[in-house]
Amino acid sequence: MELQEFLKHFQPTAESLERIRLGKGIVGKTSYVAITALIVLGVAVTRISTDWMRLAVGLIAVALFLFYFISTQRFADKNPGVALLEGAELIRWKQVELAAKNLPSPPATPAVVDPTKPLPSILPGKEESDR
Amino acid sequence: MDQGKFLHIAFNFRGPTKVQELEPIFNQGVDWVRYAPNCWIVWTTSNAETWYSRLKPSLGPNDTMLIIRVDRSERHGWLPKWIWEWLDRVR
Repeated sequence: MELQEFLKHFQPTAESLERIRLGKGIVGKTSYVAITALIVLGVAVTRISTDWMRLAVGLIAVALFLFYFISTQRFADKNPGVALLEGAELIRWKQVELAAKNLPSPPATPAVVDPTKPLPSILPGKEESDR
Repeated sequence: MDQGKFLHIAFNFRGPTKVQELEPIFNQGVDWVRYAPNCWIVWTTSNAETWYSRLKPSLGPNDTMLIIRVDRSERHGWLPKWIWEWLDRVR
């Protein structure tokens, strides 16, 4: 089977594109960019005549996908709210996370150690175990 | 009725978190703070049994809950400054 004929099987129809619904947030937005980049590389493969260049573009596409996939997984693991939500949903998620009576929207301040206590020393492997 | 004290109330929701459903119940306390989607600290004059009675009807059969008194004299952690200030507020 010719490569172009093979790729025809993967051409998205309008109906299938309508069914694709990416999430919101940074991961959702960057997914559009990653998909566009992969489509551009796919089109480029069909226009290239030499085999070694096709292989090179294919390797770039695989590398791009792996970089995108690993990066978004790491980002989503560290920032689950920002990764998947945006706008009012993100604000609501933050409200669910932190709140107090008569304070539905607390200040978005970074976490700190207890300000009334001296800074504890954190030395991995040096602390004594409980007896 | 007891004197005021801190109770730590933690949940493990097997389904979606019931934060909005639980807030009116926590408002029965004198004051409360939520520092995580499943963790509240309540300043209350009621005891743990009373809080259990208030909260249990809102829990699902597979949800879990722990209500335990907090001793502020020994503490440490990593929290936004306003929560530390909330804990130190004179009531």
